[in-house]
Amino acid sequence: MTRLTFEFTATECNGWPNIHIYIDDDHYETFEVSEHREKVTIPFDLLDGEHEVEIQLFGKSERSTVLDGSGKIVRDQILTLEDIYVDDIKIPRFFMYEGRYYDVPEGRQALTWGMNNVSWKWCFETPLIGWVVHRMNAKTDETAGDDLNMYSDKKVEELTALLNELEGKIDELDV
Amino acid sequence: MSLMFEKVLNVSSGQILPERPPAGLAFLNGVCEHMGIEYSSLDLNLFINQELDEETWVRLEQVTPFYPVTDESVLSIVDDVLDKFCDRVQSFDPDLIMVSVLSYYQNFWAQSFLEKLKSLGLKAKVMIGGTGIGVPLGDETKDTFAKMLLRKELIDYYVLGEGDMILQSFLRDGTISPGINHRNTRALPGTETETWAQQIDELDQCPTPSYKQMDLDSYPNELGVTGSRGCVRRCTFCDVGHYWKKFRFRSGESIAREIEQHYRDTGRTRYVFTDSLINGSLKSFRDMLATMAKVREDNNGMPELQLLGQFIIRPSRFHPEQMFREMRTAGIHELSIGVESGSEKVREHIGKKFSNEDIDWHMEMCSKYGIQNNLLMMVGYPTETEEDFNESMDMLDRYQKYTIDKTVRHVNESYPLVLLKNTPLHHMADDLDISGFNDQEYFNVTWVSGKNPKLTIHERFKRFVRWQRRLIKLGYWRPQTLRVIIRELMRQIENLSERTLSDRVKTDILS
Repeated sequence: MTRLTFEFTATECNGWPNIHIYIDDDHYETFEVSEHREKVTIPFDLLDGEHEVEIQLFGKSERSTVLDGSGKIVRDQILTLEDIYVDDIKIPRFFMYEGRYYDVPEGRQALTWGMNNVSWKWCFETPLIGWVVHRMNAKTDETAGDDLNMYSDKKVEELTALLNELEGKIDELDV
Repeated sequence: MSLMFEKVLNVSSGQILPERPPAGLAFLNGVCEHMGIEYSSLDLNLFINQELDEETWVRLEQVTPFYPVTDESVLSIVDDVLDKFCDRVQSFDPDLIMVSVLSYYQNFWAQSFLEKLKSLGLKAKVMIGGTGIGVPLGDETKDTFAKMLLRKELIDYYVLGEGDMILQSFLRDGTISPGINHRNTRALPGTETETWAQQIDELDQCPTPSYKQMDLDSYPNELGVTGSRGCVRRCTFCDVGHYWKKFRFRSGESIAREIEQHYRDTGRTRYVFTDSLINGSLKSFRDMLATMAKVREDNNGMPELQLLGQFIIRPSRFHPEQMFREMRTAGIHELSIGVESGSEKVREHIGKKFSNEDIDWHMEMCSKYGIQNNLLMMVGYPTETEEDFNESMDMLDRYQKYTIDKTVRHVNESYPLVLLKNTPLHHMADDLDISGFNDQEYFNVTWVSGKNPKLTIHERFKRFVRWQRRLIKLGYWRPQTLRVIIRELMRQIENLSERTLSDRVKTDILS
């Protein structure tokens, strides 16, 4: 079982935001925000492969947005995605920016949501932790790492070749 | 006051990545400074690093840790480097040269330097010290490295044990205290007779290491600090208990004040503890944390100092959440923790005294307070079964998530377990029915235990490969040194195959 947690900040305006959370179109959670900062955790056990999580704001009414005389918004019920956690570990923010908010047909990069019945969708793969780790490593510039460690496809290839060579020698050993 | 020596040159050996100024050199500098002696220090390791291009450095790094080195092309490079290095030695014209050898891996460079020095015919006396000098050579002389150097007249003195106090009296008037061995004592080649310095009880009385005369700009932003010596555990594989019989520690306040002083002197912001463990004394550790927090509070504008060190896990009743919070506030940045195995049974045999639940607690707290960890692990402990090994593999799966926030930053395991002389395991060799252990060799990876017959050399090496593959698969970063380690293992296998073949030929001839 893996736990995916979304941390939000919200603003109240004649009520707090409400959300539905779906994974691969299955409904997993309905959550009513009741504080400025909230966390929602979704435990799941999915088959290995590609998946999509969808967070949809719902229940927002005309009263949830207050305008002044010139039509400028002075108070609004909105929700901002602050962080994503996997098994209580915060993952880098670049993952969040890969999600798309569908207030326009092609979607756009946005983490603050205020439109009723509009969804933010984020694609991920399971096993989730392994996917996150490997995506992070793939983004790592080996020269920007530290002296002790290395990670790059090239270095992994080199190491794997060396390990194969070592294993070949071990196999010749009969002690 | 007239002193026995007027100009002292401190030298440290190579070859390791120059991550920080050598603590051994700072220690020697501190003693000289305390005595008011004119001194200078040269870091041979840094010099090598600056002289060689990266490719040559890596090439030498792969062969020089393994004594002796016979490759002529390597020896020629070494000779050139040392020619230039010794020019610097001569230009200082010391009357005493003190050489610090961090570990066995620096012995080749140390000896090469001393040979070059002798060929120059300097009048300076030469003294050597450090944990690397006491290892056996593994040849027919049964000498240790230091005794061999003495026999070849490459050195005049070697120091065993803590030099803080005995060096002071030696530098003052040439007093030969226990721990300083030389030709006129009974430290004769091939004998066991040599003296060790008595362990110092009050570490707060020792001179403070000094980095003032070192070219700090040539190193990363990091300095070493020593808060304790010895260890509160007697882990079966470790020889620290042989060198330091008792655990001795400084007061937490004096450690923190030393760090503050180094910051003021050098502006360095990252401090690595050289201790076997920084929390051996919980009282001193928490005092250090409190003083560090105060140092930060009192020095408005001081950047966050990062502290790194080895740490022992204990149950949560000894390490409550509040302590982790204090660690974060004090600047504890990274811990190296000797987890060794995912199997509680194996850890119990080692003498670790913590459960898997305790490790989980430690990880959870470190994740919460942003403290990174370097897990020190081992493969092929003498009692390790396939089931035990799989528990270690499972631990890697479990902690994979902690690589995301760098709660687990490294997983370090050097070799399939190396059996060291002078360790509890060495003393248990009979109980564990261990054979293939040559106590004249430092590097023993080809032992077997009759009590665990399935753990053959073949099996142990295979587990090492499986372990590496799992780490790579799970995306744990691997240390750069792993390439060197793998090549050394291949060399060990080749040696073993030759020995086995040679034994078989002998058996065939005899039969």
